[in-house]
Amino acid sequence: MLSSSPFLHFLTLLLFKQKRKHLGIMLISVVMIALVSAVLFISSSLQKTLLDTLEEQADFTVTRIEAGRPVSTPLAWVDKIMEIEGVSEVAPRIHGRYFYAPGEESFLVVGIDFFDEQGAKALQSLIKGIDLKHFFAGESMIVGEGVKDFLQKHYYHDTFSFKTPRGEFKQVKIHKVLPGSLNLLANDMIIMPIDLAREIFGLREDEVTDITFNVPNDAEWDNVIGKLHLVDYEIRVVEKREVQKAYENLYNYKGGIFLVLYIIALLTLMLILYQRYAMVYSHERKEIGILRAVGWSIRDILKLKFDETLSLVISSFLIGTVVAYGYVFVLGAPVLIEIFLGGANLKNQVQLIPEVSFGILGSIFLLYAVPFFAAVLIPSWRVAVIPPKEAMR
Amino acid sequence: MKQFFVAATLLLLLTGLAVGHYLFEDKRSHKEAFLAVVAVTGIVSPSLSTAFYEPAFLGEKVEHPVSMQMQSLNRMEFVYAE
Repeated sequence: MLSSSPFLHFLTLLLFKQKRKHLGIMLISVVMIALVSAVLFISSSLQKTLLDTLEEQADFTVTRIEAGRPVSTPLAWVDKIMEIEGVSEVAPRIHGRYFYAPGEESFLVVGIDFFDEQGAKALQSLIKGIDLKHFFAGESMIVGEGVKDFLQKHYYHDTFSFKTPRGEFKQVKIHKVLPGSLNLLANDMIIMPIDLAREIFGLREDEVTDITFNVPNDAEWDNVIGKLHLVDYEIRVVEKREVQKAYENLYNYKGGIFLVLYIIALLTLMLILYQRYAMVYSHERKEIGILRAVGWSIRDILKLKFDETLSLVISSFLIGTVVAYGYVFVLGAPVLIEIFLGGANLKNQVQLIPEVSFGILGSIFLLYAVPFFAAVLIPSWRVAVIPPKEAMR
Repeated sequence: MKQFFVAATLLLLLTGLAVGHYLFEDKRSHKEAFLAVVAVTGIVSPSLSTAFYEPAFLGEKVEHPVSMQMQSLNRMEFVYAE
């Protein structure tokens, strides 16, 4: 029944006979929608992944600040923190950035404890078949994919020599490489036994990088912060909710800039469209005049233009979104991802987990469709209401 | 009319492929792997490829949520080939 409709037949004729005219508009729309959707897909995927992993993060991290700079934290603070009521799972950590001066690049070195059962189990699930005893017994490390590539580029195939603050060189064997699917978190990461990390950073036995702990009762958080500041004047407390807020706002700025560019490009396209229909000698104007002359009512003409525009809007939007989806989640957003992850340190090729914010996608559609309809229907209506003779002139 | 239906079918097929990928992608194992990294290291920081940085002055705002030694995230830097 649908295929026998003369109106639909005429609409199809219009769409396919004037292919070149429609393809131009569609191509510009597809590029615009694909670009803005790709940016939003990357941003929402990164945000979702980071917020999901934040579940495992400790509620508080405490470091010592000296003259505004973070310095090593005394291990004695662990006992002082444990004395605060409501605090649990107090754990000292050793980690930091190791700056490799010749390449002007840095790695994140993390020391892990052999006696941390949960961590050991997690490590075994990450790297199948890892011999933990062998790893902790020797001076070896597990590196992220980015670190491995960097070291190989600098001819460190099996071992790497760390320069300690005492001026000595510490040769550490590359034990395993973390899977590439973890690059979002572990591309620049080096995992090694805690004592080895301590030696590389030149920390004494009674020093750590920071201390983490949990406060299971949320209502006690502010009270605990107050008590923490009584432990020492040089204390800096980072709350999990601060980190969460930072991740929620992550890339809002960059995403916003792309959105502004999209709106500018969209307005330009709408202006071109409006001009095309409103111009005195335009082809569209004559076409409407002819249809009016053969007996089409204003309503019929508006319906035809509405359906024509609807086909273009829906197909451009779908193609643009699917192209963006494939580019981001299948190809890994080459080039564009560097705007979000940076390119000043190790090269990072991440695998993004598909995450689509349908609310934002709907807003993009409305932002695109409404001006598009307005730019076509308003001038079409203005031409349709004048006498056909005048429109065709 | 035939052209219209062919184009519409192609469009639906394309959209269906993307929807299928979205629905059947194994997101759970990815999440578990990331959680395992955090369980091992205790660090939830994206591996951002930003330059090594230290706040130069007392009171300088550090906007990186995790590491004070890394540059802020909210910067607009276009990266050109090195």
